[in-house]
Amino acid sequence: MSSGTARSGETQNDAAVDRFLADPGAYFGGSLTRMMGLSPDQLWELQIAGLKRRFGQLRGALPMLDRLADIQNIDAVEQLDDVVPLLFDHATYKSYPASLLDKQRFAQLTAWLNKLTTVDLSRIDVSNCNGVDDWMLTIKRETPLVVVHTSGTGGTMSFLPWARREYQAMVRQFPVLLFQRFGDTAAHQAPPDIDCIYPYFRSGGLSHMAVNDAIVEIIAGGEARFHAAYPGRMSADMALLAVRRRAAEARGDLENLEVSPELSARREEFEAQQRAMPQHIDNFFSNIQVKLANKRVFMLATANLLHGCAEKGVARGLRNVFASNSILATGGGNKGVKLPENWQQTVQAFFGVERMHILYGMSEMTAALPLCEEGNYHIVPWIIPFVLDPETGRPFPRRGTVTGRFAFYDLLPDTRWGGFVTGDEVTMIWDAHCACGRMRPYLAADIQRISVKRIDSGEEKLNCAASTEAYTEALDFLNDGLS
Amino acid sequence: MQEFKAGIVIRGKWIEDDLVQFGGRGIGMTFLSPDPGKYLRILPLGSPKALADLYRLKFDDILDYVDRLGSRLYLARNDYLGQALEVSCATSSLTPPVLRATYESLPYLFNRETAREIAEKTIGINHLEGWVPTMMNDGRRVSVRAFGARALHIIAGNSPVIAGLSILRNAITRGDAIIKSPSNDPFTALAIARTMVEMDPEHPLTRHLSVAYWKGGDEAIEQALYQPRHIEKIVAWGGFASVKHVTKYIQPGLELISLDPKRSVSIIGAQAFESDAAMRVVALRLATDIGGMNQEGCVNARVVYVLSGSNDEGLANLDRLGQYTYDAMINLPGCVSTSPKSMDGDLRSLVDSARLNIEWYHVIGGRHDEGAIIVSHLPEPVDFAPLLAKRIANLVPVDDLEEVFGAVNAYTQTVGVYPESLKESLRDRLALYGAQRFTSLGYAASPSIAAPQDGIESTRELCKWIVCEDCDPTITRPLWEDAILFKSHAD
Repeated sequence: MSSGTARSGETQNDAAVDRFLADPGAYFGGSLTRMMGLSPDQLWELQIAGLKRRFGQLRGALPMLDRLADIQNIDAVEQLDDVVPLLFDHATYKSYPASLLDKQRFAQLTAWLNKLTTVDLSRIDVSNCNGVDDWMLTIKRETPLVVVHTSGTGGTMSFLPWARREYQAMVRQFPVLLFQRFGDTAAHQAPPDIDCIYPYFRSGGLSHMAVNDAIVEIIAGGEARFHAAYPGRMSADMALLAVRRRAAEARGDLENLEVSPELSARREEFEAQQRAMPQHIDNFFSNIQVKLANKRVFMLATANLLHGCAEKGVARGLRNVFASNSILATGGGNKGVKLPENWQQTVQAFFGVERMHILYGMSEMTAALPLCEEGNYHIVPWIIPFVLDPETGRPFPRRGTVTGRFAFYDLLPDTRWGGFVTGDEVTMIWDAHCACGRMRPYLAADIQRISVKRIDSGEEKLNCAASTEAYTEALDFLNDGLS
Repeated sequence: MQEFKAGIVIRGKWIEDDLVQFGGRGIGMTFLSPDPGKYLRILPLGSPKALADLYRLKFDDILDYVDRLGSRLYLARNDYLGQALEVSCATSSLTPPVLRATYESLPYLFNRETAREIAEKTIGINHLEGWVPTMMNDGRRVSVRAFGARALHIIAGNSPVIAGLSILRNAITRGDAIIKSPSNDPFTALAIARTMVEMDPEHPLTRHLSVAYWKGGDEAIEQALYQPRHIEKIVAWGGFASVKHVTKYIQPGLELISLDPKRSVSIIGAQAFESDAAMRVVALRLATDIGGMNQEGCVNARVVYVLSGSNDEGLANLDRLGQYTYDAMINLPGCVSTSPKSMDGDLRSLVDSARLNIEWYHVIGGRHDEGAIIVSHLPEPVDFAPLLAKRIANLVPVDDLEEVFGAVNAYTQTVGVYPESLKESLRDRLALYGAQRFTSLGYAASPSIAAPQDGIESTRELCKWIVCEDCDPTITRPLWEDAILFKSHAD
C-alpha cells in the first residue's frame, strides 16, 4: 500500500483510504474548498492508493476484468497509467448478443451481467421475466443492484450494474459539490429535506432517473418532497422499441420491425400512460405554483428536460417560480442535444435561480463534474482522469494541455469496475492553474462526441432530446400499430 | 511536405490554372487543383450532337486506341501514374503494396482483348457498331442500336481500378464522360486522362473524357452541372450517403445508375471438414475472400456461414477452421493483403469486448490490429456484423442451410461458396432474397469485369437503346385499317 502525507497530515494508511473511498465528501470534512483544493501530489497519492485498493478488491472478483487482465497479463498496478489497458468501454457493457433480449433469455443475460459485478446474481430466478422492465425490476427487488440501461442508439442498450449504495454514495456528494461555493471556509452541509423537482418520469432505467431513489432518500428526505412530472416508470422495453424503431426507420425497414407479444400485451398500460401525460403535467405545474412557489428547491435533470419544462412553464405564464438560491443542476447542453441558443436564459427565467450548475457526467461515472466560474470542468478527487490517443488507445502523458479521448477510473464503486473509456474528445489542462482557484487538472468546456460523424455506426449515446422524443414516438407507434 | 498539384482534363485539354486547395486531415493530405467552379461553363458537352465524331470510329479503332493507351499505362514508365500511386498511398485505405499491384494491373485492363470481352459480353459489339435488325411477329423489321450518352461518373476510390474501368466503359460505349474523382483516389482517373491527352489529344475518345475534382456535396457545382441539358446519366458508386445525396438531382431526362454500397458473405458446406487438407484449402480460399484488397471492397467476405453444426464437435471444427483462416490470411502475399493501414477504434473495442465473452465468441488474432477471425459459438453473427472491416470476419456455425437465407438481402453483393455443388442448390433461391453474384470460394475479390454488377447491367445502361422500325402496310396491318393491336401478320 502506498504511503504518503494526506492533506491533514494523516498518513495514507488503509483506514484513511477506505474513508476516502467510502465518502469523499466526509473525508474532506464536508468542505468543497478542501475537496477541490488538493495539490497535485496530494491528489496523486490519494488516487494511486485508491486505485491499488480497488484493483486488489476487484481483480479476481470480476470475471470480465479477470479475462481482460489475463489477456493483458496484468496483475498489479504501480502507476495510474498501468490501469489503462484494463479500462472497459461502451462495447463492454453491451457485449451480450442482442438476440438474448428478443428471445427473452434473461437467465443468460443475468449470467453475463454477473461477470461485471461482485454482487451474486446466480441465485435469482429471472426465467419468467417477460421483458427488460421485468428483468431490471426483479434484480432491483431481489439484490442490492440497480441495473441501468443507456439510450442505446444503434439498437443495442448497454446495461450497467450499479449497486444501490453507489447511487447513495454519489448523491451524498451533492451537498458538497452543489450546495457550497468553492472558497467557503465553513463546511456547511446542505439543508436536508429540501423539495426536489424532476420534470420527467419518477422512475426508469436510464441513469438520470435511476438516481432519483437516492435523491429522494438523501436530498428530499422522503417521497412527499419529491415532485416528478409523471408518477410512473419510463419503460425500458419501450425505450428499446424506440431505438430499434429509429434504427429500422434509418434502414428503410420499418415494415419488418416486430413488436413482441409480451410488449403488445402491455398495450393498455402504455396507452394509459400516454393518455395521462397531459393531466400529469397540468398537475405538476399547479402543484409547483401552489405548494412550491418561492421555496428553495433542488433539481437535477438533463438540459433538454429542464428546458422543456421551462418552456412549458413560461407558456403558462410562470416566471421566477422558486427561491433564487435554489439548486439547479444539469448535464451540459453541448453533446448533440439540439437546444436553442438562449436555453439557459429560458430555464433561469422560469426557475428564477441565480446560478445553474452545468455538469459533465455520464451513466458510467458516479461523479458529475461541475463547470466552474471560468468555464472549466474540474476533476473531483475520486475520478482518475486519462486522455487517450484516439487512434491507438494509449494514454497521453499527464502534463501540459492535451486533446484526446477521455477515460477515467471512478474510485467510488466497489462492486463493479470503475475504469471506463468514453466516446468524448476532451481537452485536459494538467498543469496550468484555473483562475477559479480549484485544483488541477480540469477539462475545457468544449467536449465533443468523437463519432458524431458516424451516426450509423451504433454509437452508444442517443442524445437525451432524441430519447424523450423517440419514447413518445414509440408509444405512438405501438398504440397505432395495434389499433 | 511536398504539395501535390492536380489539374482538370476537359476533352483533350490539360488545365492547371486557378488552383485552390483541397483535402485536409480527413483524407490524409492536401492538394492543389483548379477551382472547378471556374470551368463549369466548358465542363459539360454543349450538345449531344457533338458525340457525332465518335461515330466516325469503327469499333476496331476503339480497340486500337485502348491497346495503345494500355501500353502507356505501365507504372514504371508512366510518371502520372507514379504520382497517382504516391498520392493514393496517402489518401487510400489500401496499403502501398496492395495499391502498387492494383496500378500494375491497369495495362491488362486497357487491352484489346479485355475491352472486346467487356463490349461483347455486356452489350454485344454488333449493337455498338451498327443497327441490329430483327423481324417481328407483325411483320415489321425492328433494328436496335446502342448509342453513347453524356454521363457523369461519380466514382468510388476504394480501388484505382474503378477509375480505369469507368474510362474504359465510356470508350466502349462511345459516350462522353465527366469523371468526378473521389477524395480517396483523386489522381488516378486524372493520370489516365492526361496520358490520353499526351498520346492523342485530338482523338475523339480523348475528346470525350473530362476529369475533375470537387468536394462531394458542393451544391454550387452540382446544381449547375447536374442538369438534363448537360448530362443524361449519372453513375453513382459507393457510399450510402453519397448515393442518397445524388438522388435529389434526378429528374426526367436525367437518369441514375446506382452502384449502391454492398456487403458480401461466404457459405461453406460441411465438406470443408472432410480432412485436415480440405480445411487448409478452404481456409486459404476464405482468407483470400476476406483479406484480398484488404477487405476494402464490397466483394469481400465479412460474415461467413459454415455448415459445421453448432454442437461441441461442430464448434471445435469451426474454431480450427477459424485458426487456419487466420493463419492463411496473415500469410497472404503483401501485394494481395497486408495489415490494415489504420484501425477504427470503435471496431477494435467491439472485437475486444467479444474476446471477453468466451462462451459466445472465440476471437482469433486482432490484438495488434492485424485483422481477426471472430468465431461465433452462437448460431448468429455478431451484433456489429455491419461494421466488420479491417480484415475482420465472423464465422457463424449453421446446422441447416435454411438459416442462411435470412442473412441475405438486397445489400448482399457476392456470395462465395464451397463446394461447387452447394452453389447450384443455393443460387436460385438466394437470388430471390437479394444476392447478386455467386462465385467459387476464393474468387470473391477478383470478379470478372465483363459481367453484370450489383444485379444490374451497368455498362448496357450507359447506352441509349435506339429503335428503328421498317413497316410495310402490305405486311404489317396499319392502324388506319385496324384498331386492334398486337396481331401477328399471319392473323
